[in-house]
Amino acid sequence: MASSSDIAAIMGAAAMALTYSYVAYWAFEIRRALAVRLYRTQALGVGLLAVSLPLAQIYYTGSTLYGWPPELSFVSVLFFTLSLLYWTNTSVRAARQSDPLLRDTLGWSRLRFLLLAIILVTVIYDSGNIVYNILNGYAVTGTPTGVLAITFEIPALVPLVAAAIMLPAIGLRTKDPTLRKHLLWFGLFAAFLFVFVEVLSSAFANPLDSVLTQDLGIVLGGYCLYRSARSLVPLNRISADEETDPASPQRK
Amino acid sequence: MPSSGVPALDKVLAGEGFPDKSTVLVVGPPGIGKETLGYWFTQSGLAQGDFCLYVTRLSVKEVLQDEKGFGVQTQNGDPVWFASEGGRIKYDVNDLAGLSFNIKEMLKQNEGKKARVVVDVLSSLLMLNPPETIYRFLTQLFADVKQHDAVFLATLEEGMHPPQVIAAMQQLFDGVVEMRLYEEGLRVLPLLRIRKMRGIPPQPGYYNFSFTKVGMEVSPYGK
Repeated sequence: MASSSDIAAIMGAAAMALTYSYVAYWAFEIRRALAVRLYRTQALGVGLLAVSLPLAQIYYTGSTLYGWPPELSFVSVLFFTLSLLYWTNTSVRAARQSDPLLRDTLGWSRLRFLLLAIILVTVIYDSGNIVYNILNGYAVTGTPTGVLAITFEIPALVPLVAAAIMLPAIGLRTKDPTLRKHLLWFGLFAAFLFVFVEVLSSAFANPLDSVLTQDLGIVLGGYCLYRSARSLVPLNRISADEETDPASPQRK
Repeated sequence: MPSSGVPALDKVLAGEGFPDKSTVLVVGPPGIGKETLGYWFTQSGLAQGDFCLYVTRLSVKEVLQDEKGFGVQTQNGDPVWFASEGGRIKYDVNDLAGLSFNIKEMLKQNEGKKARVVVDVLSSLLMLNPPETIYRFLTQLFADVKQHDAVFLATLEEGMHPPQVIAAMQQLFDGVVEMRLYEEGLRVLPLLRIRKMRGIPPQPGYYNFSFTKVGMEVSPYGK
């Protein structure tokens, strides 16, 4: 029989899954309606973030409370951070498109390849390490050690740092109110995650309380990501007058 | 009347296309495919032997890549490019006088030919200049363009400018085609509407549109 802590963890996961499914739905729906590749990929980026974040958190919950294997936690976090890098890349490129002077913010067109190369090299190294440890029956969590331990952090840190630097830069530079609104809501989403996941959750000694605090922050952040997804493009409504206009030959 | 290059859109435009010696504005959010109308309009003009001028803030390479992505066939040749890179004339966003001079000069050099001018720089100009300046600039440019047998098609980004600026721009043009995203329940629909078109009765209806590898499909919208 499930304990009350199990039920709380399941409810937290369900709330996240529901919230982010709705966010992902809107992002993919807007993507479907757009025609130009760059803007479709930007919407896809938001959708991927909405799918990957709850997955990473659910896996984190599992590894914290139920001892799920950590190697898959690495994969789920990687999925989230790569989605973040993908979305950051398309947002910076979309900002360039809307800039009358077509400025390449902080040399992003070249910088992104360098960042991707760093991530790929460390991911290949880390994956090799994990596979080697699994095949030889060693503890996965214990390796790599010392200076090499940073290789596990790089694939997650590089996209986070890139987003933290690039997004305010393009947000301040762009004169496009739609993009600015999209970035503003995304910034609020990131702020919720930071406050609840990094700051508030560490105040609890009990792992369940810590996980539930993170879940709450992620659900609240989900609303901001939803608003960010809907701010990708202006969405209009057909007014009631036009809908009932008898002169309209198309409204039968 | 010059065909828009999209047979389904021509049908909506009373079966013929854009009015002669007209100025047409295509309004819509980024990514909806406004420029595609410009690509097909240009290619249709080239196929008929018209003089075509394409003014873009992007490089020629970027526009050609975009055209390719939409399956626009470019076997009819190239328009005269007025672009930030790779064009016959270099486009400088800060040089309004040069922009106007070069368009007029090109039309003068091709006097006697039907001409098509496609411009995707309007939003950039509006971001860098007060709307009144652009309003005056366009009024003068249109007066000159209309002395030639030319159709002028411009695109304008929705969501980048205040509604009153967009409304003012719409007033200035002979025809306005809106391509927008509409929310209907849980669906997002790209719909097209002919807001106004000189010589064509007002059309209150909306049309679904989509892009395929062979062109653009337009059909009456109904719930």
